[in-house]
Amino acid sequence: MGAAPNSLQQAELTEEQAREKEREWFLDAETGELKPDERPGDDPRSQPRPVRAARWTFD
Amino acid sequence: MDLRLTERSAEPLTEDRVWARHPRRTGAVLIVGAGAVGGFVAEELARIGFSPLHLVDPDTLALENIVRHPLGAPELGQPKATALAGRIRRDFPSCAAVGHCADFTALPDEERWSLVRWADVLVAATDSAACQRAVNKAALMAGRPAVFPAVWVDPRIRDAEVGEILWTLPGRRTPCYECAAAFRRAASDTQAARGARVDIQLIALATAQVVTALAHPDDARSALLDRRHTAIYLHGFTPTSPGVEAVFPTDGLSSRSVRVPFPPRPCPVCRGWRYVASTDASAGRDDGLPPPRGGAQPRWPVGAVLTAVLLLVTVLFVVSLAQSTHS
Repeated sequence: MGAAPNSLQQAELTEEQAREKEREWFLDAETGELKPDERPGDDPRSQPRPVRAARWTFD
Repeated sequence: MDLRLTERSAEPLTEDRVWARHPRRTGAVLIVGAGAVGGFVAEELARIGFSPLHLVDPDTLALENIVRHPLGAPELGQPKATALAGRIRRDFPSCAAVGHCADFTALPDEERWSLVRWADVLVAATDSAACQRAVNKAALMAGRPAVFPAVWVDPRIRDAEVGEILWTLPGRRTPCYECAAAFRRAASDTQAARGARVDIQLIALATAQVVTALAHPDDARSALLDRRHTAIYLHGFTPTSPGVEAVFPTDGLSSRSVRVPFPPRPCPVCRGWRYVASTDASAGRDDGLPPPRGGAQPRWPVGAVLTAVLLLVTVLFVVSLAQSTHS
């Protein structure tokens, strides 16, 4: 027994990854894109680009 | 509980033993599409305890199917729906699974309705946008929740890298499938789509959790469902392709719940639209789902309010004009 090892901390997200993980996205069904919600204080140039949802799916 | 004995064991399948490790959740589910996703969804729902299950699929099991389907070589050439229902009845005798070798869109209205009306939840797991839309319409007509699991087919990403689960509630409490999938193409060559079983099964497992949450709003799993985020995207256990890394910033397994807004114009199917859809203020009050995170944010139909004010002012003006004329 004893203290837990510190290796878990290495598996944590970076600050930038954690910030991006918290970002809200929405599906724009008109364009078929996943788009990030704008957050106050965000630099528009640092906004992630929309991701095109696949036009096709399979079962 | 049926006390039938298994062929190889003398131990009776008593209910308290079968669900000794987790409580049974039951309910009736219609699964349209018994392929790579729908097949595993059906099997998982049987494990959770759902019964009866009705499976609808027009296809037979082909050799190239067996690497990613619950059925295997002994069932080659058999209809997927009936063969899988038989397998489920054999493996899980408490599940009354029924297979229908049929195209859901080609069923006579009465037959389709008889399948839909008894179901607590509908699952549309087909590769046909037309069939997904038909299930959506049926769910809305019957007032049932529906789940639409699928795997993305796109040249920008690896096979089965991204799974998609849309879920809907009737009565414009959430956007319907049509609201969320207006951009979907009607047909594609998805028959040949590749995809790894491990990633497809992840989607099936997650879909079964969504079905359970919809059928049992009191279940802890219902906390996963937030009516403002009715699309769930799953990234499989594979390196993230550049085309989707903005949504999935970390490598490997991850999921993201995505907001699906009502459309800016009335949806041709559910009639929901951005300005008169059920407000977030009423979210969760009539369906047992928890209220959306971040609190209620009712949206007012600004145009309608302005029109009403303008009308009132006009009426008052006409009345005062009439009164001054009479006096």
